Amino acid sequence: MRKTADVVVVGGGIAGTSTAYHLTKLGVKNVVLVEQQYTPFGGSGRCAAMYRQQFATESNLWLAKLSSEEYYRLEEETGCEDIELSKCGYLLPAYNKENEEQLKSNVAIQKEFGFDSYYLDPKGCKEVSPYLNTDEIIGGSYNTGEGCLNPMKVALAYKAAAMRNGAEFNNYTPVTGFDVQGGKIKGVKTPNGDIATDCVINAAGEWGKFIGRMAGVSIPLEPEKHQIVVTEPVEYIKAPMIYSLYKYFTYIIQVKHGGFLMGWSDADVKAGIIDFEPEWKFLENLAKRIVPQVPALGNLNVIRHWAGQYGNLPDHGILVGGVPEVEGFYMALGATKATMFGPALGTLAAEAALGEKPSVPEDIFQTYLIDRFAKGELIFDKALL
Amino acid sequence: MDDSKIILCRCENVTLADIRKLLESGMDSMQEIKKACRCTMGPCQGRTCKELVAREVARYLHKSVEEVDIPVSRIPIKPITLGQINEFNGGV
Ligand SMILES: Cc1cc2nc3c(=O)[nH]c(=O)nc-3n(C[C@H](O)[C@H](O)[C@H](O)COP(=O)(O)OP(=O)(O)OC[C@H]3O[C@@H](n4cnc5c(N)ncnc54)[C@H](O)[C@@H]3O)c2cc1C
Ligand code: FES
Repeated sequence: MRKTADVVVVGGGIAGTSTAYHLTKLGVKNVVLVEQQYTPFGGSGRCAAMYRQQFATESNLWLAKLSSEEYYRLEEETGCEDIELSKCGYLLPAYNKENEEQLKSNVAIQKEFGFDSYYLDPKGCKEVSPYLNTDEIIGGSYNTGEGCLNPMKVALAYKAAAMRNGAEFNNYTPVTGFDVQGGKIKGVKTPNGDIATDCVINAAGEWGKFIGRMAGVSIPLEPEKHQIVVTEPVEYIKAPMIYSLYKYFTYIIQVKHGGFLMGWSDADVKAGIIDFEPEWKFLENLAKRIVPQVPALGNLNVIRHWAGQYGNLPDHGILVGGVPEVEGFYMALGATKATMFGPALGTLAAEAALGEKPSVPEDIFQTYLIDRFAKGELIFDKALL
Repeated sequence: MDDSKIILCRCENVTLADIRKLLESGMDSMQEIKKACRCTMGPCQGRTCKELVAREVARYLHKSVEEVDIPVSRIPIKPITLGQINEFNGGV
């Protein structure tokens, strides 16, 4: 392991690997990434594989724009053979007039921003999502620029490309502390040795708060457990993720490889701890909620069930840039949606740490910085659960 | 025999050549190899292939199998359908 670095990135998920890659792209020669396990151990290897454009705030729409555009060209850019991207879209069903109004207003905002979003009647929903039971829905919003991908391959593609550009990646190397002198970051401590550096980027996802604490930095991010299952693979039919934002709080998506990923957001989940134990209770709840929406899914074998966490900021947004407590300590956090925002997160985090002009308008960039929490300037997105 | 004809993971159709290619690209973690090609992630959850892949990884890296980061198995151990789960609970 190198003893010195221009920048040390903590965490080898999509946020960290993308940040490392973007740092090398911006010309940083000596980037060292440290990961406590392997790529991707955390949320990036446990998520529902979706990237999205259906948002209702400009902050999120800009992240979606940077991210989807990079995902479209990622294979070419990184040399990865196949990230299994499918522009299958999301379908957000409306069950009543109020839902319909909200979705129509979101679609208008997305169209205005330049995304291909539509509001469909039940017949239109059935056309794009042939296996969805449309009896109880009155319509739904849909988009043709977003979809699914293989997040494991994405993280490994960023890693391979960053390594080709000279970055060093260290697996099984947990950060255990930082050397902070006179309010400035001077180094990173690990059981495999210390690394001297003036610049650290915290990309530890749902662990982000714990990494902050090691440097004496307070970050309002809480892990929140989410469970998910995958079925045996069957023939791929391109269809949108059925994202029941208003009734079942579930999602259903067949990824290109053939398996269906399904999950349910439990409103009563205990937040604040990292817990990878899958629970039977979740399967019972999931079965009750999925079968009425897509009866055919009652017949497919579930082959795996696992748990991961979101790393929620109070507004479920992203966090890049520096912090008031320690100079040289930067963020690349956004672990409610860091898979879909991975490219933007890496780009903006790298730009912020290097003091470069951000790839989004300045007023939008401000909404990603830490002082928004102290100022109470939080923006909530109505298109999110 | 041709490495691309030797199947190590039947469920996900991963051959010895696929695993070698990943190792040759510089991957030294079985966990990362799993994430890259889905070996051990199929319907049998690696019961048939985990040992075979681990042995190949160990051989290439000149390590013992114990030194390889072998993935853990996850529940459910036996595949089950959502319909069966609903039935246990007295139907939908
Ligand atoms: C069930 C589920 C479904 C989801 N679905 C989606 C989805 O469809 N789309 C989407 O965009 N998001 C989804 N998410 C959220 C998404 O998974 C996360 O936001 C994202 O993966 C976080 O990426 P990350 O790189 O920030 O963090 P991670 O992938 O968690 O990476 C952080 C890394 O930091 C490492 N680390 C922690 N502590 C240390 C230390 N001390 N030293 C060194 N390394 C350390 C960890 O080992 C980890 O590998 C889902 C999450 C779950 C759980
Ligand atoms: S043979 Fe590899 S998962 Fe079944």
